[in-house]
Parts: sequence; structure tokens; C-alpha cells
Amino acid sequence: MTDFDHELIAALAEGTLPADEAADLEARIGADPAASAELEAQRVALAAIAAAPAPQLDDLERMRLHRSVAAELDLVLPQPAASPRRRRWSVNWSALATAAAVLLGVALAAPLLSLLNTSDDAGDSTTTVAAAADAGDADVQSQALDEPLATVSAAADLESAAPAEDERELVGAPPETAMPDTTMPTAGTDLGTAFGPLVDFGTLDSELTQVRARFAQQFRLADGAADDGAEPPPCTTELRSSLADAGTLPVEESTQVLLLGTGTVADLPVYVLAVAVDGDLRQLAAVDAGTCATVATATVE
Amino acid sequence: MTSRAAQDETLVRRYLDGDVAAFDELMRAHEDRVFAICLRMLRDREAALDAAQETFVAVFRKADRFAGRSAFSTWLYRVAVNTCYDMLRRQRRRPTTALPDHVEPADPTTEDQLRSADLRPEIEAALAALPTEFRSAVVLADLEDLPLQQVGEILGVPVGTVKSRVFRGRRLLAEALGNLSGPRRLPRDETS
Repeated sequence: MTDFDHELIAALAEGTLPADEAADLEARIGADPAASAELEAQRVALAAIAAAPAPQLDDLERMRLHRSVAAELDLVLPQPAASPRRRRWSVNWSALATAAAVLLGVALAAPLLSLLNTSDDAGDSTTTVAAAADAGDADVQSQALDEPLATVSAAADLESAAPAEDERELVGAPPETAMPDTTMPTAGTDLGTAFGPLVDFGTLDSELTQVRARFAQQFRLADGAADDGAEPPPCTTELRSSLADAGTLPVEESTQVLLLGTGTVADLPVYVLAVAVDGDLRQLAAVDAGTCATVATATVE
Repeated sequence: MTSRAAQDETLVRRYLDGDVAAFDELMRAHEDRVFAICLRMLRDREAALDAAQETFVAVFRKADRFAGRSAFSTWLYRVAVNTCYDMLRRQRRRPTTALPDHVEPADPTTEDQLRSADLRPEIEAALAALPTEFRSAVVLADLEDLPLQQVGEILGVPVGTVKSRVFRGRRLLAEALGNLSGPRRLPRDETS
């Protein structure tokens, strides 16, 4: 037990005492092993605390927090200052759907025509691409990309599922639309090209082969292990439910989800997730980082 | 009243009058610190985000009860700490893994580990070893550098108690750090 006042020892460790008083106290404490140990402990802790960086929200977390709180409070958020393109933070879903269909058509024409030219050695890389469209007739078949190599089709009529208003506020309400779906080859596909028309990627593995490698590494697929005990990525539960509701995947513990990176869909921050069933990579998905609503998917065949 | 506290009071009034921009300003002014407090209490970014969300929702829903007797930030941080206490209580009902006496230093290049709480892993582990009341005192007073008077208001205890908890919390922190990096003898707490 020490006779020294804890406040004095703390003040000495913090360096808040006048120099002469500190020197005198330090000398007296030095003669008392218990007090010296107390002082040393205070200094060790303060040094560790000083070395600890201040945690900060990253941009995506900040956006998620704002949107989720605003959604709980039924608030309509003003436009973020960094985005000068719109007066309000909103998305014209019908325009987005049209743009997505057009962009997909443009983006896919070249690679798919290229695939057509190399169909003999295409192996199992049958490609089916489905895109969002707001046309009354939802199917926009690309006759030029006839099966078995590639089909471009609109999997959903976004307009019919979207609210009546053209502008839908993104305050937390997910875009409750049947999501656009893209089907792509299993390997060697550049995700930026295949998924890019819908998702403006922030960080992402660029190739499906890398995604597979990460799956194999994280889930030890080669050993047949279903779970390595790691924390699931954000929105895993919601994504599983969404895919099951859409009839795309079964809701099973055997579905594994891997976070590939982040991005945006029409200014909406998204997580880009990969989904495997029983170790077989089946789906890519972009989910709203605030509400976890599924915004876009791509099927891997 | 500090200028921040005065600004917050004005923003709360504007928010209650329906000004959504005031909500945004209040969030931006305090979200990093609320998140930091929650992260240091909970050691998990997702849990900290959940706690921060719960905190802000609770505070904004009850904003009409804010009387301005203490700073808005004091009220906000008190709700944050209490939210973290609740979450920790819920966590305790689930099985946990005991802190090892000795652990290998984590690979400092492993980003995921560093991002778990944005602290050095050994400090993070040492903080987690502190009893909750000491951890909250050390987090608020030392890591967040809040005035002791405000920490007392947040925790609902006298300043003297805050001082005692911070002192003992630092000692336990040093002890835990010593355990994590090797045997170390520190004095036992004669006041506990």
C-alpha cells in the first residue's frame, strides 16, 4: 500500500504538475516501491492510450449510419454536399432502369460478339445476361446473341414494381423491385465489365477467378468445410432471405457469403457480395449498405 | 456554455421545428465520437454501428425532452454508454472466449484485425479485459479526452468516483498489457 495520493500520482503521470513540484514528488515516490509501481502503471497505460489511433467511420459506414437513423425517424435526408448532381438524394428508378438496359446492351455487345466469334473454344462459359428494363414488355431479348452462348434479357420490370412517383426517396426504403440479374461465365470474367453497368465499384476483386480463390481460402472449400467460424459479412442474413424470396437460392446454412468490396448504384452505397451454395460460387449481389436490400444480382453459371 | 453546446441546443430546436438539415448537422458533429465510444466499448465495428444507430434514434426520438440543463453531447454520450452497457449485457449471455494470459502479437499488417476496433490489438485486448465501469471511465476520460466533470455526468457518478475509476482502470490496463506481453508485477488495488 502506498501513502501517496492517487490524484497526485495520476497528475504526475499525466504531466500536469508544475515542474518543481513534479520533480520533488518523483523523488519521493522513487523511494517507495509501491508508489513507484503505481506511477509506472499509470505511465504505461497513458502511453498505450496515447498510441491508440482515434477510430473513425469510413464513408460507407457514415452513409449507412445517416440513412439508417433517418429511416428509423422517417426523415427525408437532404442531398449530400459532395454530390452536386441532384437537388435531393433520390433516384429516378425508371430512368435508372432504362439507362441500365441501354448500358448493358452497349457494354455487352462487344464482349458477347467477341464470344460469338470464339464459340468453338468457349467451353462451359455459357453466358446469359439479364438486365433491368422498364419497358412494358420486360424481355429485351438480344436475338443477335442467341443461345447457347449468350442471351440478354430483362429479368424485371422495375417500373411496375417501383412506386408511382418517378422520384423515389432513398431514406431507408429499399428499392422493392425484382432486381436486375446478370449471368456470367465462371472464370476469367472481368466483373467490372459484366456487373459494371449496374455497379460503380469502389473496391473489388476484378476477376471471378480471384473471387473463387478467396472463397476457397476463406471457407476452405477444398476440405469441404462449410464454415471457418469467421464473422459473416454485413447483410448476409438479408441477402440470403432476399435470394430465397426471389427463388434464386435456397435458405440454407450451406449458403456462404463473401464480401468482395464496395461500390455504388446510382449514388446508393452498396456492398458487393458473392454467394456460394455448398461451396459452389453461384451468385454475385450488390446490396444497399444502409438497409441491406438487394439492388442487383449476377448469376454465375 | 461552450459554443459547441450552444450550437447543439440551437440545432436541437431547429430539428424539433422540422429542419432536417439540423438533424444532419447534429449527426455530423457527433457521429465520430459516438462511434468511437461504442467501438472502444464493444470492440466490433458492426456492433458499434448498431449501437451508434440505436443511440441517435433514441436521442432524436426524445429530443423534445432535452431541456438543456446539461450539454446535448453529455446526454448523447450517456445514451451511447448505456446502449453499449445493454449490448455488453446481451453479449455476456452468449458464450465467450477467455482472454489468454499470453498471446502472440498480431501481425500489424493484417488490416482486418486492425480495423476490428481501430486500436492496436494488444490495447484492444487489454481494454476488453477491464470491468465495464472502469473501461467506460478510461474510454471517456482518457481515450476520448472528455473533462472529468462531463464524464461524471455521463456515467452518473461524482467526479471523485470518476477519478478513482480512471486511476484503477489505467492500472488494470497496464496490468493487462503486461499480461499480454509477458509477466509483469503491478501493485494490487488496496481500495477495492
